[in-house]
Amino acid sequence: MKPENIKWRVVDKPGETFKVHRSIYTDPDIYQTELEQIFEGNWIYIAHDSQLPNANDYFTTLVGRQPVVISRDDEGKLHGFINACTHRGAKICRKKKGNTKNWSCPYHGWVFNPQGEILDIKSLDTANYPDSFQKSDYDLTRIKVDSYAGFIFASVNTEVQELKDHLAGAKVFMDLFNEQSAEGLEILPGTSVYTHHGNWKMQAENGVDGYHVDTVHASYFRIAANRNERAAKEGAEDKVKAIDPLTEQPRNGTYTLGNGHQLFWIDVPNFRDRGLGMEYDALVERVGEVKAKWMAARLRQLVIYPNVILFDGISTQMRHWRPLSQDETEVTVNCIAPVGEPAESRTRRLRQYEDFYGASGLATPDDLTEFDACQDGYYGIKSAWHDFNRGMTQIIDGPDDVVAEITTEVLNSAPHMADEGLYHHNYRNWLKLMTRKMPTQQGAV
Amino acid sequence: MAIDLQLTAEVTDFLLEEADLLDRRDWDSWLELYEEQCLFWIPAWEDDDVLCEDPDNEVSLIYLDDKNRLKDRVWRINSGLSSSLIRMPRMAHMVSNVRIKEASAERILVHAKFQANAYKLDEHRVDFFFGDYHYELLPKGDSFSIKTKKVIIRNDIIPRQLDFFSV
Repeated sequence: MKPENIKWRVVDKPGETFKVHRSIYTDPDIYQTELEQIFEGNWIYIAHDSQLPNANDYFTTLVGRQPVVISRDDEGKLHGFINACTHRGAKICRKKKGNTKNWSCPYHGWVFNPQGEILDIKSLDTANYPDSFQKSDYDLTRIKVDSYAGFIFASVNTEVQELKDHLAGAKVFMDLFNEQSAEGLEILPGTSVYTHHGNWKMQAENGVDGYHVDTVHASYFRIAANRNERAAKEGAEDKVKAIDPLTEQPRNGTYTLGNGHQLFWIDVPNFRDRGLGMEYDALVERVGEVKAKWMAARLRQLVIYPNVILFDGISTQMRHWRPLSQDETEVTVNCIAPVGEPAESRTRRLRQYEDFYGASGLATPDDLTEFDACQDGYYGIKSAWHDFNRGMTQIIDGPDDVVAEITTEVLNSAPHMADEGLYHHNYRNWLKLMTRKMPTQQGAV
Repeated sequence: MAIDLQLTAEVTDFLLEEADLLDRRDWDSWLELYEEQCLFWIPAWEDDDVLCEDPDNEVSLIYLDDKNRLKDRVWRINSGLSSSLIRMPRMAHMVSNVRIKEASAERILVHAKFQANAYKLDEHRVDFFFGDYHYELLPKGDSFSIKTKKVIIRNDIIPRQLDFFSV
């Protein structure tokens, strides 16, 4: 898609207006370009270290449309490949995850090791290949894989920038998550996948949208209040102790962190009811007061563009997604927790996770319903533009006083979580990715 | 084990009554089937053939460990505050393969299979979940009450929403 056919869809006049044309959510040509330029051109979150901890573990997934497999070798190093036999293209690793020293293609029996090297070609002695045939030309096709703080990313773009540069200002917030235990984090058993009728970009928008919380999740917060009343009146035991940051109007805000990454935060009055909050005093002792406050007492939702949100507030969730079409999105969610936390904290974390998150929780289905209603509305293209102008006059350049305690790597700050200034960063970055020149030949690194 | 046809028929009728109450959205009557200290549990899957069996350390899709939490979900439907519950799906629950696994004067353990069909009005589509019900029933008068209902969903990619009435 030619850049000039994309650029007009984002109107960016700083201090005056910031608008996007709703065709960016519905146009099939825009969607195809997003697959090439963003999902197959950028780093994509795919897994957490704890999902393949041992030598010869593998894990399969998709990067954009492309099937990939990642593996861990004897030294703990990660490798990643297109999950397709170099012979005739059959997918080699068929399960979601496993552990094996040899990968044998079930179609014609070619064998590879988890480092991607071809070990055996069946009946090579009678193959009658031409003289130019080199067995080593048939190693699996490598992709880029790297991790930061236990979070694993992959890219099928051979010329993608280094992961640490891509993560930019998001890294300090990933550290705040990972350092909640001296032993790091682990994905808890039990993955849930759900689908919805709505463009993938709404996942990235809504994860840092402080403006929708009290309307879309009104039923959730009323239920939390009802439980408190029930506990006070009848002495009914509240086994969830839902995190409710809205009753006391605490301080909140947003930050933009570079390369499309964004964060939204709210101070949590009842943070000692959180899994980590239950251990707050020990946490202060280990990491100091400032970090402990950021980790346990301040709800944070970090979008790492384009496909994952780290939630640390209501409970702790990894939520990542992939687009199925311009109108359909598939979302994978996991509960992630500090390794070695006390049993009581672990159970509390799970109950709070199930209460709010996921397509079976009391909150996420309402978000999904709104995404889907927006997608329907976007086809009303006679009403073609929406603006992100809320908070326009109070955008702060660089870090504010709150975030300055832990980092200076912040592009903009906003003092209200309902402000929409962070979407300027989101869609400036989108436009940059969509209109950049990509390498024409994608293949081995 | 000899099959207790009488008990099997009574239990089957009880399960079909619960299914019908859900289809008719008679939530108050549905709640009356449950003990105050009850468990409504839908475990998540860990891998192709591995179900999460330890709810204190592994993820459940739904884990409601007393009747108040079932009431929360009914309240949410009635409140009108949840946009996901404004246009409720038209549902038909099918329950079959009812087998008594254990029966005593104190409790009856029952396994059954289900398919819960949903017609989603705003999405113009049909979805369904299927799988297993594992019940712990208590004798109550000339019928039963539900102490535990564990639902194993075998097609666990969720189209937008899963709630107690979806299975």
